[in-house]
Amino acid sequence: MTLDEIKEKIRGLHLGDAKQLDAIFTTEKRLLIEAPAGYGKTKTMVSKIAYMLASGSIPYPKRLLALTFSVNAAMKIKKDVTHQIPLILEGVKTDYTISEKILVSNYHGFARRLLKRSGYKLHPALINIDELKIIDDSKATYLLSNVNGLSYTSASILEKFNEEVKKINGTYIQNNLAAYNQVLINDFLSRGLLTYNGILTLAAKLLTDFEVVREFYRRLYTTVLVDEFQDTNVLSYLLLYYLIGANTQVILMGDDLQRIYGFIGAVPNLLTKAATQFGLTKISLDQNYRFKDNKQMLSLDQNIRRNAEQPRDPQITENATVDFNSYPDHATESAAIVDKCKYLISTDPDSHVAILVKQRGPNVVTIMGTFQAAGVPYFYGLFSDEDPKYVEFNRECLYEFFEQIKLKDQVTKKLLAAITVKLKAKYDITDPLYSSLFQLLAILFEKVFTDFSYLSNQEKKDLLIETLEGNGLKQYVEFINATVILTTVHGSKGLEWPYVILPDMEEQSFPNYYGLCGGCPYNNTCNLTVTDANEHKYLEELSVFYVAVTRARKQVYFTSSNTAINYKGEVVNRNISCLLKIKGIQILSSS
Amino acid sequence: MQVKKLTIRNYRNLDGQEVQFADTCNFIVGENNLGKSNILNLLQVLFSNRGFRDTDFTDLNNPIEIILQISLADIEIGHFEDLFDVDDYHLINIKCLQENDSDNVNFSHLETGTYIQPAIVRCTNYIYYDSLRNPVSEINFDKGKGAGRFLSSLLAGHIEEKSLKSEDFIKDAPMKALLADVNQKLEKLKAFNDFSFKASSEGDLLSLLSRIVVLKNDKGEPLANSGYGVQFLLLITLSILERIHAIKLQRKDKGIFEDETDHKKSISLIIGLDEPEIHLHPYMQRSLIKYLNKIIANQNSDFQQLIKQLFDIDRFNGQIIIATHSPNILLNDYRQVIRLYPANGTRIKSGSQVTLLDKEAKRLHMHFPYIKEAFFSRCVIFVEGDSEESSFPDFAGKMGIDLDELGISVIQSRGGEVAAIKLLIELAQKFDIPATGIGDRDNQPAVAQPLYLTLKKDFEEELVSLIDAGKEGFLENIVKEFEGDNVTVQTGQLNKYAFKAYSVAAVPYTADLKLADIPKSDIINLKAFYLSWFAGNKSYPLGKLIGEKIDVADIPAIYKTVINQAVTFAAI
Repeated sequence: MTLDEIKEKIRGLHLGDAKQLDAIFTTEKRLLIEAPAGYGKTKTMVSKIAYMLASGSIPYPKRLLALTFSVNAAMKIKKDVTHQIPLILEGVKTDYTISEKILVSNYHGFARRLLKRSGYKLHPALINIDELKIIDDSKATYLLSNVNGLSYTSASILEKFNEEVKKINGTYIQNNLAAYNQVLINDFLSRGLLTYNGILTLAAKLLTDFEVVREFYRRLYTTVLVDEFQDTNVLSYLLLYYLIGANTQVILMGDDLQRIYGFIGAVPNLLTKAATQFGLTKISLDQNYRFKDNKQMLSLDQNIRRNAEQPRDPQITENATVDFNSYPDHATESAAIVDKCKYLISTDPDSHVAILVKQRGPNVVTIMGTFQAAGVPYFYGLFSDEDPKYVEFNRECLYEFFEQIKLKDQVTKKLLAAITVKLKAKYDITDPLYSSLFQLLAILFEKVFTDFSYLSNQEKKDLLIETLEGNGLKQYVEFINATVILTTVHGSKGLEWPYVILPDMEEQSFPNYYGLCGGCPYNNTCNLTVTDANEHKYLEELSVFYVAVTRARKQVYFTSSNTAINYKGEVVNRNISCLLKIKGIQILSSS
Repeated sequence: MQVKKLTIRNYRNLDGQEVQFADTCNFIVGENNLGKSNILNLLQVLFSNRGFRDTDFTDLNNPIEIILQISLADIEIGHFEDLFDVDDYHLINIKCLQENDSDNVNFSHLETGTYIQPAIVRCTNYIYYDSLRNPVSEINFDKGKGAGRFLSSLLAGHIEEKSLKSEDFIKDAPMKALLADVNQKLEKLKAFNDFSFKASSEGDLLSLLSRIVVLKNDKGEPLANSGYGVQFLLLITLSILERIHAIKLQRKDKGIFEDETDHKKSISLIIGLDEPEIHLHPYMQRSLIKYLNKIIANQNSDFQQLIKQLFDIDRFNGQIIIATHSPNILLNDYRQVIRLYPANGTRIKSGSQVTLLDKEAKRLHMHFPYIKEAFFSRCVIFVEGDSEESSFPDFAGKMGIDLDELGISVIQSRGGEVAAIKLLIELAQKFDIPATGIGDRDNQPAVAQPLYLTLKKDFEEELVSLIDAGKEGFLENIVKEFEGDNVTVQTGQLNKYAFKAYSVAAVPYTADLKLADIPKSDIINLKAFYLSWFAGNKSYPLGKLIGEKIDVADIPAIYKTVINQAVTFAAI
């Protein structure tokens, strides 16, 4: 098949989508592809890679490095790429699938690989990086009691660094990277310990200190593609910065508006910053395929984006009507949510409904109580990435995995079952949190032998280590078999369900006091005007709102209460959330 | 890809050895039985076979462990995924380990222990050609084996391209008539009838063509009638093509490297040749090596066009490794020489690990064609001129020493006098070749052993001093045998040598000297005559004559010392 025929084939696959085709066929070597959820990002990425391979701008798959934030996302891309590219390139270059695989990895996975190969230059223990125990470095006190002989100064260096990473303090990171690494090299590695951030910082050190290593990787990967680029944190960005040489082709894909991970260090306005730093040409995909037959959702998606583009004067062509119901109080609202779930499931029995709350609190307790009273089972997913119990559970799983894999270096069902047994002895499985975590663990373990059965033993090990080390159990909430899933908006990042209910769409809830409501001059009516003073926070909230809305594959529903009990225990009136009052949204009661 | 270094444990007689290779071309030299071919065999096992056999183990109770260092061209970086040498990203160090003879070789990254698939290592594409191959059995268009597979593929390619059928080559009617005639006769044979065997036309076109297309030279003679040399030359290039053909079939695009800017495709190729000189005369030997070097260096446009046309490959990144006994075959670069020599078993010294001073490199480069032989010797005696070079083997013979048997070569420095000899001795020592040498005393300051100076001014004066020992008769015989009975030395010659160079005469000569006219008691004029005559006639044949005729007792003592020194060195 000739290149023209391939082009024709790709044109057929992306029929009529000028932006997608532009992104695929452009000869620009540095590209930023802005791609909201449902706009055909994955499909565009697959065709783009296929076309680059066919046209020789990636001479063979090995020269491409594809990176993303989480191991779960990396595995999804790997699957798409390895299955679909050969279909597009059928008959062009032979044997793409078997002989040469594209390296798709998450930042930590890639950094770990790098350290495994050349890290011995920094410290011999890094050759066996898989055997190092990852220690949480967010609290100096914890470090002091868990790392033998660690000085208070060293512990403080780590704690402070961890904090500044979360605060995205680039200058601090730059200035203290060396000191942080020195503590790891002096006090951690010889004790068989490492930190999660340390995987990235040591990899960055390797790339900075050893020109040979840096040059090798720049020559090895002549094209670097990053998916979900908006979730790149300040340390991953550093890694990326060193991997991109003067001649590296760069494709960054993502959506600034889906960035809600500010609190774990994702860089704000990252896409714009990267575009300037790497000299990227921006192409924005502009057709929403997910909602092409759902005019209401389509215009909701579009209008939120318009508000984000020009917060003070969004260009709205047509209002989006949203399904919104408000109730006198939380008890009534909760009952309505349960009814709505029952209704949705009765009309669409194979479906799932996700209830996404902004935060935990008395409102959520009411909702859970109502579900229990109604005898409707639900999955408890109310834990954040930072929740100490959640983090600790991931760690325990990881340690148990290491214990077992030391005995026999083969990821088997038997081995994973043994891990589960050990863990169940340690935790109270009647606690809804642990019950949920065990369900997630079971899904992860099952997927190793179903979705990921094609992986080699080493890759399976990597998958499990990366997932647990990155506190990634939560990513499997998507596969939970329960029909109703109760989780937080932040926890829903990267996941999708057919139906989404967003409860508590009222002031002091979504947004909350820390978001926008604290000291808001518009709190009488909640008819917000975007000004210099509130624009930044407003955009943050709008991002979270956008992510929440776009978790729905079919439909999103909103509810609120007119009253709430405040921190003093008094019943107070509540306005409808300002987010439902932005231009282009027209609320319409369904009941 | 190129092999840079082998570090060998427990393999045949090379246990504990390290071999460094030059980038493009290598000559493994040395005496028989030192393991030259073993190095090529070792590469064959690593790059083509599953594993070592029991006879490959120095000690069967221990594993064979080879550290293989390979260098990759820019375009090949990443062939071993993200494995590389952290000190040089063009290099990778591979540990090749085989526990016992029933096992296979296992490859892993030396620094990290990461497993490496044998198929990846095999993409180096090593073609080993030993002189045991029988070209005639391979070079034909039958599907057969080796090079034949490639020739056959040429036919198959054309058949497919033109959609040819048997009818395009065979006329139906005459063939039918022929078969009818033959079968009418064969039918009368019982066995043919019983088992219903009949003459019939070959239905498979490729089989048919493989029998009607043959190789012949312009005189119509088949290949089998040509000398082995010609067959060998034909086979060697066909072997390369056959290997690329097989690689394309088996591995498809794996191991083919595409440049992302000019989209040229390259493939690795390492050619191992064992004693290619066996069937080729010296000119042919060098011609073959130069040709292969051009192919590897992508400088032979015909060959490049052919591989582009046949396999869509533009370039090679490769190396040639030749085990040889022939000084003739060496090209003029000392870095390409890998010298094996005996010293409690085998020791190895590679030119690429020798660092030379500028002046050394220059001299070696200038003299390389003449001193190649040194690389094959156990010891070298460097001398100044033809006289010594030609007489020393006989001097030694008279002393009961066979220089060839001991591996001692006598090589002249060709100018540069004592300083050159000193430099050559040092050079030889850098290649672990023990060397001694003798220069003319002339007005030289003293020198240190193993370099010696003549006791007299030079070879001629050493010889002429036989007169003092009352052995003028020997000189006279030489002169007469070399030139005849009536020998005269002209005035000019006498003044040049006897008066100026050797200062035996107090005043310049005004007349010629005729040997027959000089009284045997006139020592001055005798010396003047002989010094002038020997100096004026010094040459290879004269030296040879001297060597043959001289009595062992009359060999100048200093030469005996040098020869004995060489014998001592060679014995170490």
